Amino acid sequence: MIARIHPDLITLEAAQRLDVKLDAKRAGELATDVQRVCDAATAVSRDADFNEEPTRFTSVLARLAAKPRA
Amino acid sequence: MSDILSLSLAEVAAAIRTKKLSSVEATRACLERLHHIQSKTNCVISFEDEEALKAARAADRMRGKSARLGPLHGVPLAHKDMYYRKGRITTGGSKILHDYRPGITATVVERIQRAGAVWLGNLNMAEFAANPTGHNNHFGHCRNPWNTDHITGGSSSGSGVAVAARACYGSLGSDTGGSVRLPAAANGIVGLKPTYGRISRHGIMPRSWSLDTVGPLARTVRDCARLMKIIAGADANDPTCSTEKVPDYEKALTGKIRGLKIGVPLNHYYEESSADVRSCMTASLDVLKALGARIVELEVPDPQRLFELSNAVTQAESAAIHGRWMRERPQDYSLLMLARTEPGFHLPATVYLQALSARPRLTEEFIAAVFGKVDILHAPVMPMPVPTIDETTPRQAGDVQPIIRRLTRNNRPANFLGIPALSIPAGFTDNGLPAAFQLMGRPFSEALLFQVGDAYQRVTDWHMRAPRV
Repeated sequence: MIARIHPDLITLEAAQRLDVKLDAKRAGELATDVQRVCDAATAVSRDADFNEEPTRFTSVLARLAAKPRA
Repeated sequence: MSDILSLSLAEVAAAIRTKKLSSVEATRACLERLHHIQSKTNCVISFEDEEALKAARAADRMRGKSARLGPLHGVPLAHKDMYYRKGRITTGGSKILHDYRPGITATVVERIQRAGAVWLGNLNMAEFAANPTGHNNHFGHCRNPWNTDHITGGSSSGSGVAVAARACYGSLGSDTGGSVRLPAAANGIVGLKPTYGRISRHGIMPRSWSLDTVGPLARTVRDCARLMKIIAGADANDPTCSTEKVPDYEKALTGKIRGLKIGVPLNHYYEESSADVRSCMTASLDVLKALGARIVELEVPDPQRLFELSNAVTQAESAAIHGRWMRERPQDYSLLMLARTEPGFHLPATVYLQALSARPRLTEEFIAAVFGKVDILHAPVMPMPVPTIDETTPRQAGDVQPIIRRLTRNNRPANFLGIPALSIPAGFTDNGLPAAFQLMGRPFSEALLFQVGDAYQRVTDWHMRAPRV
């Protein structure tokens, strides 16, 4: 699991990167959204194959395309 | 409404080619219809009447010569306002790009123009192709022709409306998380999200490079198949574009599907579905069964996880595209666009790359688990009836993600997997708005999806119904 995304971190980043001052409610909502995505990515990190360069996904699809009918 | 407008794309192309109809007549009828519905649906961003008629006259003159005519010769089309034409304004449905004149022309635009199509105008769309409802605060919300209180689906909102309302014979949209399928479904027409890389994205406003696909919308499966044959195929200008051979999709339309195994997911896709949507899905499966298909229920690898991973990719890439503008001109974005992009500024780069790096294996696992057992997967495009504009208008930033998640939950998994998905009209829900199922298949199985969709349309007439706007 990735470390917990704290709303204070979101507030700080928003100020630094976007010059936006977030209220506590919005910071909490964003922290929840970001946490959900981070958790999903962390959970599948065992599936990551770093030999498959991500920009070559089309060739992966081509490999998976031609199979006989089920 | 003119009889000319009731013709399908394939029919009007044949009529123009054989001189039963002129391109000028077809173009004039479409333009009149487009102007008529504009006041009620707001589906157009810019009209090109004079140029369209000039192109139509030229197309008619060419018929008298020995010139080889393209498969769309003289056929009037209109497209989502995100396809670049060198020197022509392409807004992307945004205020930021309201006067943007690209320096290149999109490969797909060159292909449909080479095929002889007439360009009627640029259609409304969600701001930067980034919402699934059809809301647009800069050009006005697009409205559903079946009931103008309701959303059109997005982001290819104008494409869905113009085709459904018989104001053009087909349209190019784009699908990053459902943006072709949702407007096709909500307006009662056909829409294809192709295999990632099947169609060049060169010269198209990006939403999220790793997930973006160009897709055709039309009234019939045959019309979509024809457009697909024209626009698909390798392009040296798009390194992600596949070199796989493009089949003759119309040849696959045999009407025969006997023995095909059609999968129905037991998890995820029906979890938030309403009774009337389920009823439409069951009826459509009964039709496919009567045509000889075998229905197989199965569990599919967690689509919710794929949904979240697609969010990781879209949010990170969208934040990268819009970061500078959002810092410098936040007032020029809608609340919807700002709130949807915002999480991307807080995602670690490692999370984005982990999501992308897991994609090949997750796709392989999904394909083995699903398409090792069935030929195609059948599921609702939208699990609920088409909502109203009011129901989906965010009042504050926190409203945005729940609205988007609800509408796109059944669509985003296919984008993450890169697999094709075809949306087909399947009746109407209790509120009188269209419902639709989607057929998903292995990568590059568009011909099979067309084959099944066409067989279904041969024995149903949902796609023949037109809104009375």
